Amino acid sequence: MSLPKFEFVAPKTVAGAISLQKDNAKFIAGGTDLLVAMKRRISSPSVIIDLNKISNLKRIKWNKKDGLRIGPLITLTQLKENPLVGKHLPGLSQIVPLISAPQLQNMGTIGGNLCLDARCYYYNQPVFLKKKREPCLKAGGQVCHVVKSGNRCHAVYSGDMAAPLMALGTRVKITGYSKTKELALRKFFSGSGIKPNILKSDELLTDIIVPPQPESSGFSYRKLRLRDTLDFPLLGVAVFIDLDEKDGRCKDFCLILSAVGPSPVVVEAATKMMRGKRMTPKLMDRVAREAQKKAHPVDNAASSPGYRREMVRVLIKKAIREALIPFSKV
Amino acid sequence: MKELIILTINGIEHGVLVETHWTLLDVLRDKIGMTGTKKGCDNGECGACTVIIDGEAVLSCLILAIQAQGKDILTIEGVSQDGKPDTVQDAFVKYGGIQCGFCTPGMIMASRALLNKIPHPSTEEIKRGLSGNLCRCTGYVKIIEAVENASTTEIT
Ligand SMILES: Cc1cc2nc3c(=O)[nH]c(=O)nc-3n(C[C@H](O)[C@H](O)[C@H](O)COP(=O)(O)OP(=O)(O)OC[C@H]3O[C@@H](n4cnc5c(N)ncnc54)[C@H](O)[C@@H]3O)c2cc1C
Ligand code: FES
Ligand code: FES
Repeated sequence: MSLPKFEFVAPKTVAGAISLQKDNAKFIAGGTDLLVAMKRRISSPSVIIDLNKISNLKRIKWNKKDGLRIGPLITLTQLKENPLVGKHLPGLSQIVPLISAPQLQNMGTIGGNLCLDARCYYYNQPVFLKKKREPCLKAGGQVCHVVKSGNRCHAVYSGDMAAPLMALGTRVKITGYSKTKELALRKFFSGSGIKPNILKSDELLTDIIVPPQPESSGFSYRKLRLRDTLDFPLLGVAVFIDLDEKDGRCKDFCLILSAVGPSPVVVEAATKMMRGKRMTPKLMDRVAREAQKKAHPVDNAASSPGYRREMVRVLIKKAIREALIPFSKV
Repeated sequence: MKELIILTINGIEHGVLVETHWTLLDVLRDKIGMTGTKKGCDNGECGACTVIIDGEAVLSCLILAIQAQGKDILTIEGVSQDGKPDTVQDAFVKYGGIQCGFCTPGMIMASRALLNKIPHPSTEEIKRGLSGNLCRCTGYVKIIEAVENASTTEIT
C-alpha cells in the first residue's frame, strides 16, 4: 500500500527539529515502525521531520562516571558493532540479534525502539479489515475490541530494548522547546496503550545513558516469539543480578517483564525477595511465581494469553540462570 | 508537490522527479524502470525489496526515495561486474538456490552484504544473515548451500 501524502523536512539540529513540530507532525528515525503504520493508515502525519541529518544524535560516548551515552539515532547494528558497547556492556550488543531481522537492524534505531507505539492484533490490522467495527480506544473511539468490558486500552508495548535497558538502570534525556529533563527510563513509559510513552509531540528523546555496571554483576534478556526471526516479542524478560562474590549473596536484583501490557513491568517484589539471599532453585521458583502475578497478557497477540502467562515463569528461570553464568560457584 | 532529487544507483547518478511520499522501492521500479528489486509485502516482513545502501542491506519499501539522496545505492542490477555474474549469483544458479525466483534478488543482496562483512560465515551466520528474507519455494537448504559455496570460492 502506498504512503499517504505529507510534507518532508530534514533539519540539522535538535532545536530545528523541535521548532518544526506542529499539529500532527511526526519525527522519523529509521522509519521501520512509522512507515508501516502510515501504510496501514494507522498514522497519517501532515509533516514528517527526519532526524537523520542531526549528527549530534548519532554518537556513542563512554566515561567512567556516567557510563555509556548513546544517541537515539544509533541503529541497532551500530549498537551491536560499536567497540565501546562491546567493551563496557557486551550484554547489550547480544540483544540486537533477537530483534526483527538484519535489514531492519540496519535501519531501526535505539531511540525509535524506545519510542515504539504500542501494538494490538486489532489495531494494527490494515484499515480495510477494521472498517466493519467501530473505532477502538486507541483509534479515538470508546471501546476495546480485545477486553470488551472496561475502558482501558490493552495495546502492548513491544519494543525489545526497553526491558534490558531498564534492568541496567538506564536514564534518558528529553529535550523540549524550552527545557530538557533527565529521568529514569522506567519513568518514560506512561502505562497507557493509547500512547505508551510520556513524550509530548514537541519533545525529542536525545540521550540514552547506561550507567557503568558493577564487575560482580550479571545480566540477561530472554524473548519469546513464534519464529526465531522477525517476530515482535510475545514476552520479554530482563534480569540484572549483583552478587557479593565472597558469600554468594545477592546485593541487588532487578526483574523486568516486557510485552505483557502497555508498559514494561518492574517486578519490585522480586528485588525484595532476592536481596541478601543466596540464589537457590527454590527461591528462583518463588520469585518466578510472584512475578507471574504481575503479568496479565490478554488475547491480542499471536499466541494465547494462557500460554504467555505460563511462559513467564519458564523464561524468568532461564534468564536468572543465564545472568548467573559469570559466577562459576552458583 | 514534486521535487527533483539525484539518486546514485550502481554508481550512476539518476535525476528523478519524486513526491515526498514515494518509497525508494517504487521509484526504482516504476520511475527508473529497474524492476529487479521485488515488491513482496511492502511492509518490512519479506526482504524481497533488499538493496545495499552505503554497505548495509536495507529494505527499500521502508525508505523514502527522498531520504536516499547522497547515498550509494546498490541494486541487483549492479552486482554483476563486466557482464559477468557475481560469485553469489553464480552459486545460486549452480546449487539450485532459485525456483520461482521472486525472492532471489533480495536473497542475493542480503547474501552479498553478509559476505562483504563476514567473508567466511558459519552456517549459523548465514541463516541469521538471511533470516529477514522469506522464500516460499526452496525450503532454504539450497540457498544456504549456495552462500556457503560462494564464500569458499570468493577471492577476498
Ligand atoms: C517486520 C518487522 C519486525 C519487527 N520486529 C521487531 C522486534 O522483534 N522487536 C522490536 O523491538 N521491534 C521490532 N520492529 C519494530 C522496529 O523495527 C524497531 O523497534 C526499531 O528499532 C524502531 O526504530 P525506528 O528508528 O525504525 O523507528 P521509527 O519508525 O523511525 O520511529 C518510531 C516512533 O518513534 C518516534 N521517534 C523515533 N525516534 C525518536 C526520538 N529520538 N525522539 C522522539 N520520538 C522518536 C517516531 O516519531 C515514531 O513515532 C519490527 C518492525 C518490522 C517492520
Ligand atoms: S517488500 Fe520490503 S520487506 Fe517485503
Ligand atoms: S524461489 Fe520462489 S520464493 Fe524463493
